Amino acid sequence: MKKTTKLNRRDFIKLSLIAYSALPITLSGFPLFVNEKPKEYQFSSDNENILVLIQLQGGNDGLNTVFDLNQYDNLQSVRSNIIIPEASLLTVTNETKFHPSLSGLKEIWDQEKLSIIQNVGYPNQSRSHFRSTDIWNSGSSSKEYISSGWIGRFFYENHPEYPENYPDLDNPHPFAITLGKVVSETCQGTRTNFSLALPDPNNPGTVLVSSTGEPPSNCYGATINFVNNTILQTNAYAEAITNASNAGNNLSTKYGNSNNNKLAGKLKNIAKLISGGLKTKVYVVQLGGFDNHANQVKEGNVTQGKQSEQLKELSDAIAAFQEDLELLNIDKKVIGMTYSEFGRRIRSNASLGTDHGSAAPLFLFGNCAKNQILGDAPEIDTSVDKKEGVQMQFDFRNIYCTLLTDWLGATKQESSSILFNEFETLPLFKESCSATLSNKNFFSQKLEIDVYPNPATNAIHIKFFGNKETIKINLYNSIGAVVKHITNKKYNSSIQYSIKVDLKNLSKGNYFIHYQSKGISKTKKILKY
Amino acid sequence: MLPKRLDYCRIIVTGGNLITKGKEFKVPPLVPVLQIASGITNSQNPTILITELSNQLFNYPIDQSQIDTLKNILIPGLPDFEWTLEYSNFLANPTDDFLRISIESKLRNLISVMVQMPEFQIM
Repeated sequence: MKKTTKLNRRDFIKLSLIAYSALPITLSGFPLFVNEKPKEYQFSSDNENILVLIQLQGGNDGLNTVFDLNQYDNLQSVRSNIIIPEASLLTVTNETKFHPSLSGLKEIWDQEKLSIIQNVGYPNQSRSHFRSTDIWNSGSSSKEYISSGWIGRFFYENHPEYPENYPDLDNPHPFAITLGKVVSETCQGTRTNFSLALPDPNNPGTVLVSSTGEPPSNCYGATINFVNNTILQTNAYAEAITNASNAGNNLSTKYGNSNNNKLAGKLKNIAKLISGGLKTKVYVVQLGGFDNHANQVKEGNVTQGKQSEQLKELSDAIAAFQEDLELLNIDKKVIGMTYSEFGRRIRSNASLGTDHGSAAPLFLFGNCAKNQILGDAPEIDTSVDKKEGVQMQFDFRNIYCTLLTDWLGATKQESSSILFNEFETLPLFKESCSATLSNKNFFSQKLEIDVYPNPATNAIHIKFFGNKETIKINLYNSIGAVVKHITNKKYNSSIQYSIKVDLKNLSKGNYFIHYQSKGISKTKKILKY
Repeated sequence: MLPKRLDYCRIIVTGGNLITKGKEFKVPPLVPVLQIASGITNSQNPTILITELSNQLFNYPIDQSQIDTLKNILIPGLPDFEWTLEYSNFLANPTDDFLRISIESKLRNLISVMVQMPEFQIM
């Protein structure tokens, strides 16, 4: 046994000072703080839209969430032990089906308030929970480390001084709220986190972990209680939250088990706060338990099991929340989005589960969400290798960019500064709603790209037409890593180009051509043998 | 004073901007969290890691619900074995900067909450 020395507060601070001298070495090469940016522009102040982010922790299995009947037989041959029987699936369209637990989301689809965005991921997918969650929450590429979050940088653009002298007359309410004990990293700004952790709107306070425990009934316990209570009284936004909570209401009876730790309870609290007049722009909630390496489904009854329960909790809670917003007549200004750090591999494992994969579908719901299935169903091939994941079609930053500009009112320039790059927006919202529509022409173009021979041994040729816009073509391997940058430049209109891509040095297996240009984003599978 | 004090405790763990007497200081993350974790035997086990950290930081043991809540800060929504996997992976690849930063930020989240707990404040 190693001897563990007790650290008191003084030792702790001393230890920290020693570490300080070693800091430049340990942090070399990584920008741990985002550079401060000059405040050059203003957000549109009349934007009252609200965003609710639902983070599915652990990596949800998208292939067992949204199904495509054209791929079903192939999927069955690579996940025969976990696939949901076709007869149990819920019908969305002729081809697209839902997991049977998603009846709530299907209702929202039937009411034309659901966008299903297929194959969302990012280049060079990380399959580490920690790293991939950091990437999604920070809104950065997998090649850099950014310690702030995308929502935090959005608020920071206009409120670089926060939290000094906040709340003020213009901003009396919290910018963001994480329903739970810990603030979400999406809201981490350059200086501080813009969200307030709120486990219970009736008791707003800087709630700490110790308030979960039962302090002992002695002198130590009494002191703990005193500090706890003092902390509870020091929340600058407590009054605004209490007022909204008292003035707010819930009208849906669908919430089910809605204690404050359940997703339904969290969303119920959000509806109450919004209806009570709280102007908070972003709410973050989390639902854990999607990391199902084993027993994702129940042996003998695959429609039951861990993922089924999680999806049911998700879908029922969203359906209740959406109904509540409508009954409260505040649904026009609220949009919700689910996201998860990655999808799972295409092949299931022998333990009735799935392992860490790549891209996955995400849901956007609300009165203003365009009812659509954006993107293609993932192509499944029966010879898929063990580690293969779903290939990315959309970068998650395309969606963030759209939410920033079309929903939250950021300018294109602001969005590019928040996401460190320009991303094309996607058509996620309905017309005549409270969203801006910056991209109505997505998928208006037909992709004319030829890849041959396929399968190939030594080389492939890619033939495509120029469109005066930048065309970016990358070659990905089966685990989502970029293995070749094929092109990234503008091509003259109406001329057909051909690029030869050498495959000699690549190992055998499945690869993907990802083609991206203004208004289009597609993947094509190729086999090297 | 208490919010300032808690903020100070948080900032020396996570880094951030500290404001005292109208002046602002940019403080890097000072507490060497990786070093602290590496000094704990079997810190690949998240329960042992948290229990041992609380033994070092607090005078009295914390209860199970506090341990569970802290675990949910270290590995939100994930089973215990994912900490074991990711932390062991980092120990096996100490030069992988992305792995190191991810592990480090999880530990910073955890310890920054622990040093704001009354159990630490009244020591």
